[in-house]
Amino acid sequence: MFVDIALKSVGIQLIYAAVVVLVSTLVTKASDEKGEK
Amino acid sequence: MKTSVILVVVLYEVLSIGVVSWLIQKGKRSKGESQSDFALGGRSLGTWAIGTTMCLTLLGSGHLTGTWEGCLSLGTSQIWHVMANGFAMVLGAVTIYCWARRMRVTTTGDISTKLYCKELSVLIAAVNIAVGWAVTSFETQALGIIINSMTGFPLRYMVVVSSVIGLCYIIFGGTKQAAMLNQINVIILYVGMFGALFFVLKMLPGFTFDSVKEFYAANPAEYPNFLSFTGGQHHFIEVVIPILLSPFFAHCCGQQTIQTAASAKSEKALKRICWFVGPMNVIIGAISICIATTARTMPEFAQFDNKLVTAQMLVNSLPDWFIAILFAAFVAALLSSYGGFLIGPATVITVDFIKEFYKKDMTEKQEANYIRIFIGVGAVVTCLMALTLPTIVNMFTWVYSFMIPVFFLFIFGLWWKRNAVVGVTAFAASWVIATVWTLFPQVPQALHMGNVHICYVIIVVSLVVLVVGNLVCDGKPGYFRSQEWFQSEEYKIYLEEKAKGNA
Repeated sequence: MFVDIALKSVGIQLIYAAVVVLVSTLVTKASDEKGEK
Repeated sequence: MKTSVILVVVLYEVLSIGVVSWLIQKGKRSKGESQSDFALGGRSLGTWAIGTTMCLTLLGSGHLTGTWEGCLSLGTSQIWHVMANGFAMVLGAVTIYCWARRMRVTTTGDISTKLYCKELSVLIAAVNIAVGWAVTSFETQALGIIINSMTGFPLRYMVVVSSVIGLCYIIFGGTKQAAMLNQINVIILYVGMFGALFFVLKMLPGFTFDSVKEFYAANPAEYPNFLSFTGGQHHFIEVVIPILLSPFFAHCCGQQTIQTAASAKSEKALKRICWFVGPMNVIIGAISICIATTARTMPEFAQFDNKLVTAQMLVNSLPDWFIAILFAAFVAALLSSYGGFLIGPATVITVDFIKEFYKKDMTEKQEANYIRIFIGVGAVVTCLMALTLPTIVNMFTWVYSFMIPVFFLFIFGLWWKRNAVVGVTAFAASWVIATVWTLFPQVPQALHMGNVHICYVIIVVSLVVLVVGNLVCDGKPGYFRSQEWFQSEEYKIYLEEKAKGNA
């Protein structure tokens, strides 16, 4: 039961973190490039 | 009464707080740090200190006693309430926390003044105070439950004792003390929780939770979808999403998290917390759910209600030496949340009300003293609130709903458009609707919306007013797109940090 809850919730949190960091990095990069032009 | 356990817990808290306070005072004397460090920790905290402080500030009654009580009515889906904190901290670390730090602000009131106007800032600050005090009252109740289980004295008396202990914890230190203690306490809490899981499993046949699963499966009428991760489709929409969304929005833009983020030594250090704060939070929640659901299956504790049954099982079933470690960790986590949520409103009252309207020439020492006074006032108010013993998770969901408009106000004001009248209207409209929804339940029922949670209503109202208002009315461009920002001192500091690779 613990493994089931922990795996699902940690997995969701890590996938979410990866998506948020990826989007944030892409947005920052795009805005930096826009600023340089 | 577990005298030996009480002695060990008290000794641990006194020693850890005493040693850390002494170390900080020694460091301050040698470095000559100022009184402003009381609230901001000198903007010197690294990734681990920021992450653990934020986690432990949020990882209090909601994850421990709140989850124990909540999961016995909501089942395993209670984990979504815990996950909300991780979602908020991750998104906040790359967005609002980071932007607030970039603006060099201390309070949510400072942000709203820069973005909109003083009137909106006062409204947001007032709601932040109410939310901070409400959460502190839940921490007080949780601390009372822990002390009640160790002493056997009535819960209401222990709530008063908890307020006194909490006040002593925070009034002699500050954010930096809490941050240092958190780095120790988070380890103790993890050891304690995994140890508790081990001892609970040891009590169960075959060292598995199979008997617990069978208990709930055999009582589907009393515990429907109890061990389902989502709790079923209807339950997920009507209950789970609201208990997820309210804390999510509140922690994305709450005083308690923004104040901790403002103490970060760099944006880079702040952003790195994304990788561990979520898992760090949910593991504790997952263990809490397993322990509480086990406690409810034990006939010898059937006479205790959902609020007390888990603490009673732990105290009466686990070895005393281990209970001492576990409860020292619980008390530390609850005190940390208590401190974080009590310092927040005290800082807001001092900075956004006293300093702004009555004492503009306040010195740093006076500011720290005012914060201490309002910590004391907050402790009394929250103690009185805690004495009513509300259901913790339901109250969290309700009280955090009032913070939802702040998230949209900040995002739109920073990056899209700023119109003070639209901002105040959106905030006031959400507040009025939320109050009507709460105090006059016949109104949503007449609209055939009796099952629609208050948080959905606030999201829709605040978004509609802000989007329509911004489209229809003129306004200043978003703060980070305006000349105000590009000509500010904070922008120069940001560019310097960026050049050094810290932003």
